[in-house]
Amino acid sequence: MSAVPEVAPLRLDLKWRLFKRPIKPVSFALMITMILMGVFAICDYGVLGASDWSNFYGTATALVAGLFMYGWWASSQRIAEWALLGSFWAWSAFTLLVFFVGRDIDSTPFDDLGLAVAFTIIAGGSYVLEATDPRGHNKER
Amino acid sequence: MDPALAAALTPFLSALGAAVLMYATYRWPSGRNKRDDELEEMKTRLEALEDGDDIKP
Repeated sequence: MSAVPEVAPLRLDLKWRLFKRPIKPVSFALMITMILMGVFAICDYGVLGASDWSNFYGTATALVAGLFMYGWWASSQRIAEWALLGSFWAWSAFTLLVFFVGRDIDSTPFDDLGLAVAFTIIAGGSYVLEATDPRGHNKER
Repeated sequence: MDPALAAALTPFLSALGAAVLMYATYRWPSGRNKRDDELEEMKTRLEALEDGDDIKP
């Protein structure tokens, strides 16, 4: 009998499944923020206003949201990682924009520096966790 | 700062940040890219062994 008690390996995956595919809550939340950011940018709401760059941002964030959906549907770890990196890019760009430009009367609740910094950390941290796989979860897949 | 200038600068600055993050994960000991490299190295060694040439890692 071993002196050290056996401990079940720590699994952080939730057991939520939709169409036999796991739902990752952080990726799901980031996908929603990408859709919202795309809608706000294309409809010329918020910090970017009506500019070519707002259309560029809107298109890019919509593409990232599409990457999240495709990665989930195809069960592709690689695409999920690219989507997380894309959301890090979008949120860090948005953080810098809010920092440089600031808020005005037309700002949306999204145009908040604290919120943008928090989502940048969430997106970047999730990308690092998924790409480096410190607990070896993805080796089994 | 002028909003147009900020909007033109920020995509490139954040792309730089994303590239740094990617490089950091590439250098990470358990990084996916690192594991891919190890897998490629093992495949190369296996092929070399099958051909009768043993190469040292």
